[in-house]
Parts: sequence; structure tokens; C-alpha cells
Amino acid sequence: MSNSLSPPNAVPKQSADISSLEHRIRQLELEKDALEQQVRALRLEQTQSYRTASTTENTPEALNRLQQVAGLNNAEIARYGRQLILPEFGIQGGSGVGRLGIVDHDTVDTSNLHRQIIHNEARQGMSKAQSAALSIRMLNPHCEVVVHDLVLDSSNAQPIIDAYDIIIDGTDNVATRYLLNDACVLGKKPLVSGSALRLDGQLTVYNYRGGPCYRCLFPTPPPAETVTNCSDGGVLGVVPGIVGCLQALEAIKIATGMGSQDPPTMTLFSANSTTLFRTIKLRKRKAECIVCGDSPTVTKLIDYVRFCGSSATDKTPDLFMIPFQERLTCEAYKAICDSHTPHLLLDVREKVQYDICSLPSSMNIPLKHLPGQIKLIQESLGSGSDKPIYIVCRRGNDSQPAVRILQEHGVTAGEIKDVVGGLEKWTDRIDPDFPKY
Amino acid sequence: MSHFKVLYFASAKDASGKESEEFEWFEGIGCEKLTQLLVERHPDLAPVLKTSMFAVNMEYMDQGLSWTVQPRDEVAVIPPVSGG
Ligand SMILES: [Zn+2]
Repeated sequence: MSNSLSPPNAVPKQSADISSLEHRIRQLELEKDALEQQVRALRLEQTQSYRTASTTENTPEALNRLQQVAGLNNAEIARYGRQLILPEFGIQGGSGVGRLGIVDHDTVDTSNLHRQIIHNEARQGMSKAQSAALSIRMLNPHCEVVVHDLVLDSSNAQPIIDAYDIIIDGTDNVATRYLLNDACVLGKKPLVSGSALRLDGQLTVYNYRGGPCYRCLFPTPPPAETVTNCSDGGVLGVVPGIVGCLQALEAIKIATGMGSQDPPTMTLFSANSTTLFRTIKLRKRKAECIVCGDSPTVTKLIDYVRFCGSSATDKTPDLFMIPFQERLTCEAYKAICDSHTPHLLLDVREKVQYDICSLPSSMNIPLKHLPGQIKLIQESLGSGSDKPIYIVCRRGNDSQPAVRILQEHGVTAGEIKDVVGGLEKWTDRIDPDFPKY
Repeated sequence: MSHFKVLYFASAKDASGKESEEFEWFEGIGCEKLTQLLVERHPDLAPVLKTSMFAVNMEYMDQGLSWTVQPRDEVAVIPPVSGG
């Protein structure tokens, strides 16, 4: 045996080799398991996608025809065993959700994946409602999933709400939040509302056991220009996840009657605070509330986009403050750069965004600081300058008020123009390697 | 000298630039006076307060009812969060 020939001091080295090889084998085995699992998941996804497509029922008539969920079979008892034996639950409430409807009109985008973990990399461009249904089926084939691949609005919301027992609001805009609230009050359904932005989350069960509705607490929608969405304000991926788990908990509590004597509360989550959770005790519904009060004036669904003065998506609308012909296209700005025309390029995005990516030799002054930084711009231009100033931002919205501010201060004798469509357009039209975030 | 504490959440935190701060207490700070005190110190809070709710010592306070802040109370300014 070769072992016996080795000098004694080589033994530790050899045993180290063996253990490192064994470690490598274990790693490869794990990798093989993971790959096999992926293959199984993809196979399941393939078969499920046919089933989802064939069982999708969207019409109100179809919803009314949906039958009561039957009792538990053995497979379900095996799956929910750990919950069934909880003293607080028992056979009545230990099971999962019999029927789950998913409403979403959007398609899966890379920028959703850090927080919307029900979707994945491979599903980009797929309908979010379909993608969510696939994931749920892969987790649990006992749950009936109904896909509503549509924009929820006043014309279609009520029959959908009426077809379910508990409504969970995970929407991303003000208009849809008021729409869901009113539809739940009119349909007498509890609304488990959760929201998240940046590092903060909120959770409340509205319209449940005499508690308030969303309008009782927030009768006036915030002006559109003061509302920040996740796309502009950012959101830490785990925050909506934490709020979502709490929403699932509240839905389970409602379904099982657990904690039904508890007074209504609002839970505030602050990821960056030493006190992560705070619970605010709420009052009963307001007698003077215009939808859930004693003499309501909202007795059917209204136009929520008009009521809130903002659109029913979280996409930022384009601003038209300056006429198109007074602005620069990306191509026109590219030509200015290529001809080496002297100018100042001002980037008015927030510093955190500027740090992600920026055009060469640009100067960063965020829009909100611009009025206080006029001197700085004048200094960098030199006095009495007629150098033109070109302004860029993320989408060509903030750059427009920036043009007006600089014009009012008369910082240059040259022209002051902004780039239409901002840096997102720059990526689309000029430089595909310039990052979009 | 008595004080009371104000906690700012979500967009109120952005507008005030603070998570919490102390205010000098005096007799008769109701909903209107409180709003005035907050806006005097942080003008950017004005639009936020129009659509926010108040809680005192973790209990919701109806803006239509009469209530006053007591010494050492903890007032929370809670604007709606709509993202998801
Ligand atoms: Zn109400």
C-alpha cells in the first residue's frame, strides 16, 4: 500500500487531502440534488401552466358558480399536521386557503424581483397573476387558484370582491386603495391592508367587526405630487415581505376567528428604528364616514383615479411643463457631445441615484437643493458666461422645473435646455450599456 | 419645564428630517394648536399633516373631537403609506 511508504510526517497532509476530497464530493452531491430539484420544479411548472390556463375563471358568473371548499383529505391532513395540532386551531382552522384569487394586471419585471419573491428570473414579461398562480401551485396543489389578469377598477371590482371572504390589499397606489376600501365596505368584507415604502410598513384590518375603514382614518387622499411610489422612493426588499407575512397572519386569524375580540389596531413597522413594531389602538368606525358611516354618501363605486388625482398604477406619469420644441432629444444632446461644444451638464437626480450611474463630466445638484446652489453653478461657469447648460434627470420630469429655476435666476446668457426622457431614454436610444435602475 | 414627544412616521419623517423630537408643553394643545406647532418648526410638514392621522400614547385621536396633549405624552404623526 502506498500509505505504508509515506514518511510519518506526511500522514496529516494526506488525511487533509482526503477530508477536502470528501468535502468536495458532498458539495457535488448537494449541487446534484439542487439541479434535480430544479428539473422537477420546471417539469411541474410545465404541467401546471396548462392546468392554470384551463382553470382560469374571470367572469362574475363563473365566480358565483364556484362551490364551497370541501373538508380535508388525507394529503391535506398530512400537509397541515403541524398546524392542526395547535390548540388555538384544530381541524376547523388548521388547513390552508381553499381558494385564492390573485388580481394583477402587470407583468414581471426584473426590478420587482428583490421584493416580489413569488416571481422569478425566468418569468420576466409573464403576467404577474399567472406567475403567482404557478408558484402557489408548486408550493401547494391543494389550493385552488383563480387568476384575475386585469386592472381592477370601479367597473369590475365589486363582483370579484363579492366572490371572496377576505380581501388582502397589497396594491401599490392610492386610487386602488380607496377603490378596495369602498368595495369591501359595500360588499361587507374585511380588508387586510398592508403597505410599504423605503424602510416603513403599515398594517391594518379595515371594515372588520365594527372597526374603522380606510376612509375613517384617511378621509382625504394625499395630493398626487406628495405621493411617493416604490419606483421613485425605493423600498427595501424585506419590508414588503415582513408586512406581507403579517397580512397572511391577519387573514388566517380572520378565517379562524382567532383574536376576534381584540380591538382594531394599526401596526407600524420601521426597519431603521430601535422599536421595529408599534401598535396603535384604533377606535370604532366613524359615524360621519362617507362610506361606512350612519348616512353614507358613497353608495356605489366612484371614479377613484379622479378622486385621488393620480393614476391607478405606481408608474410615474410624464410631466409636460416645457414645450417639446424647447427641449433636447437624446440624439441632439449626443451630437452636442460629439462636436465637443463647451457646455455644462447638470444632473438633478438625488445623490444616491447619481452614485449608481452618471454621464461623464456631469455636475450633480439634486432638484430640491437647486435654488440654494445657484452660486455654485455660476462659479463653475465663470462670470458673464454664455456657456449653455443642459439638464438631465432619470426620466425627464425633474429636469423641467430645473430649467425654469435656472432661467429665473439668469445663470447664463447661453441656452438652458433639458433632455427629453432623461437617462432612461439615453439607455434606450444611445447607450444600451448605461444602467437602468 | 414640561415637554411632550413627537414621533414622525413615513413621509412625516422625511419632511421633518427626524424620527422623533421633544416639544415644550403648555396648557391647551389640541389638534389645531399641535398642527400649528409642528408646521412652525418644520414648514415641509404642512402638506403631510393635511392627510395624516394623530395618535397620542399609541391611541388614535379623532381630529374632529376635542382632546389635548398632556405633559410627557407621546404624539405620533402617521401619514398613509400606499406603496407595495
Ligand atoms: Zn369608514
